Amino acid sequence: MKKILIWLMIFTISVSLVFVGIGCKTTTAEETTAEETTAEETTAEETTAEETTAEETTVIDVPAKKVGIIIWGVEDTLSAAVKRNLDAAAEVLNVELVYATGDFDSESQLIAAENLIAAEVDAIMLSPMDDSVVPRIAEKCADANVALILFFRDINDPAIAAETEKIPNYLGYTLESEVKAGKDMIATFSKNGAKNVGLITMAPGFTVTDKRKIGFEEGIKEYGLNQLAEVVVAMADATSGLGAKDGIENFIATFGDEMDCIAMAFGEASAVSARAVIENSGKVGQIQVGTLDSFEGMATAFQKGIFTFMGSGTYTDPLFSFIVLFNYLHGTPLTDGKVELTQNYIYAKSYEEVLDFIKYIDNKDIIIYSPDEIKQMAKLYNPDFTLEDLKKIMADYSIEDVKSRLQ
Amino acid sequence: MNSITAKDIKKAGLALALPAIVFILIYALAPQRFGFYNLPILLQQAIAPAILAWGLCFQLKVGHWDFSVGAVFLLSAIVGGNLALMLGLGVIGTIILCSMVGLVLGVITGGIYTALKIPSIIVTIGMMLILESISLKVFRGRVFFPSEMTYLGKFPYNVIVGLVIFAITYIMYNYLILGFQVRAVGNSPPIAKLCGINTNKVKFMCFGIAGLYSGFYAFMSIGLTGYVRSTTNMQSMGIIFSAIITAFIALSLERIVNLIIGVYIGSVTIQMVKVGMIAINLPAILQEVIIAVFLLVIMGWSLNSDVIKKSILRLKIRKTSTTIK
Repeated sequence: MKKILIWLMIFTISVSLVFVGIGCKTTTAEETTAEETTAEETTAEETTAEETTAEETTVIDVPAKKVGIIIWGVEDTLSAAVKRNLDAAAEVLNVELVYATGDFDSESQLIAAENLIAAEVDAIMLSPMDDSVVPRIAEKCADANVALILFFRDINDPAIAAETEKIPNYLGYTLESEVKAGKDMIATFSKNGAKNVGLITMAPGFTVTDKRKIGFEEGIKEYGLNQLAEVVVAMADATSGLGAKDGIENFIATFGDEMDCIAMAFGEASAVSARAVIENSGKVGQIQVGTLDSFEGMATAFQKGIFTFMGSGTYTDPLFSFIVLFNYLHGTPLTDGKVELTQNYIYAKSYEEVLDFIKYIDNKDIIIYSPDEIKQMAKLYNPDFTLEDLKKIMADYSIEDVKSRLQ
Repeated sequence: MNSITAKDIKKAGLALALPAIVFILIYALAPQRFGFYNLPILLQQAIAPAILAWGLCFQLKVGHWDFSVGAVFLLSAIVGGNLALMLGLGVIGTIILCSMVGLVLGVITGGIYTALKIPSIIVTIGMMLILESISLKVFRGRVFFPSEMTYLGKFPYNVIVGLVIFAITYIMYNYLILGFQVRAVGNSPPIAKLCGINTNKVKFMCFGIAGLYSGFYAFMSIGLTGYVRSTTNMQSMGIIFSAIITAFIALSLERIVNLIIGVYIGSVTIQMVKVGMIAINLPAILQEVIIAVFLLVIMGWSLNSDVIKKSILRLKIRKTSTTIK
């Protein structure tokens, strides 16, 4: 009996490992939703800028630079899109990118910065997990004459911000307006006639969702909605969506027909759960849901009228930080002071807009800016380029903008 | 056949007292927002956390800390679910594959624990980190099921699955030799060894059981939401937080109700507390505090109930002797 069990175990492990290997190597289309095939099909993983535009990409004799990027990862939807667009821009501008990933606390990020400096990078781009790490990394960069710029974050604490801004080589940040996005979601609900809102938020401490929640609260106050309840979901619950699922079920059970909109501070698994719960409870058309992340099955969710607001597409935030950095490294800074750039979200408020979002923004085969457009953002190629021009490019960033440039 | 005695009824009443007290408290605070109509959803919501907690109970009973069950759940869901989709095996295939992957991962963890003789807390934290990293790489780190394949999370399928897993667990814990051995090892490993029980084998099997139940939780989770994605940086530990609390409540109630039944009672109670916080519209910042305080009160009462009873008895005696004077 023992021998049979051992052989069964060996067989099971071997079969599982074979299939896991198949799973790792699989690159053909294997998605399960029919209506999102344009976004869901997987072709070759890497697409260079040359494959998306007709123009030839030639690299003028630009001195090579090396930039380290400290980011949480490069595999999820957002970070993979960030990497894709950064890699394309770096290739055009003769920059070597070194990614330092997997660091989720201040100490690890500080060590990552030290390692990058030791690897002789010319600059570091940082998405800080916490305000406190920024001045420490900025000091190390200043000592090594390495430039530093932030992306996806600013420095919340005024004292830390003031201290950091005194450090030379610190260039500033690019940041989404999370508060505005949260407020715009509530505005959309209000415009659609909603009165009573439930919030699904994350435990305090994560800057992004904290700011989105501030936006929700400001929007609720400004547009006169009534907040009925709030469910706080742990970060871990966001992986399976069970926290949001239970929360929305409890909203429905507790408030019945009273609650007519739900604002979610994050998406992915939780948004998928939300769609399932609304559908299964027969509340389609009675409760509208909004989220600030893209998610699987979102086209169907909008088509059925379950979701009425989705904000995402801020993949270009790090790219704009990169542009500021590149110009600085080549002695042609866009400004003498620190940059404080605000990246707008792309909103989808209808089924058609979501389809466009999937086709033009959330598409692995598309690089948002062509090689020529990237070059035009570099003073080496375009001496007349200014910070105001960059801000205009950022302000113009939308589905229509991407569509018009790609067509 | 044993007849139900008054003692049994009293014990059942005591066990149900906990959720009953919570129910009455919430109803008193928010009668417009909470009532019996919440119960059907609560009872269904309690099934998934109970499944994970049942597996954890075996580990806790033999004195193990298992922080890897969250990561095992993630990898079971991602690998098992994607394989089922790839091979066109449907929901039944998902159930089998998720369970198998969970079992295998649990066995591997148990094997490492047994071979290297490292404390369970260290082994499972190490495995958690390894499995989280693997879950990030395989099948692009997530599984997504179309809505027509997520009926396991809907009534009555979720209840049927819950009842089947409950029956398996109840029989395993109360009627199979393994269950007796688990309890013996949990009460005293040296005495269990003296009685001829292979304690290492029992502990190894508990790892396998925890992994298996993580696999059960995986297909249940896919059935409930249709989507599971990987995580890193030990965030999978947060997944098992509710299950750990549920298991501790069950262990506290074990003196008055069977552990396996106690798990479900604990799960229902925790879900009720969560609903209660919504009904009362408690500020977000207090919600986690309430859950933690609730756990401390339950554990404190359970572990110190003898001391409390003796104090009450002493007070009564003092009062009686004062009256006699």
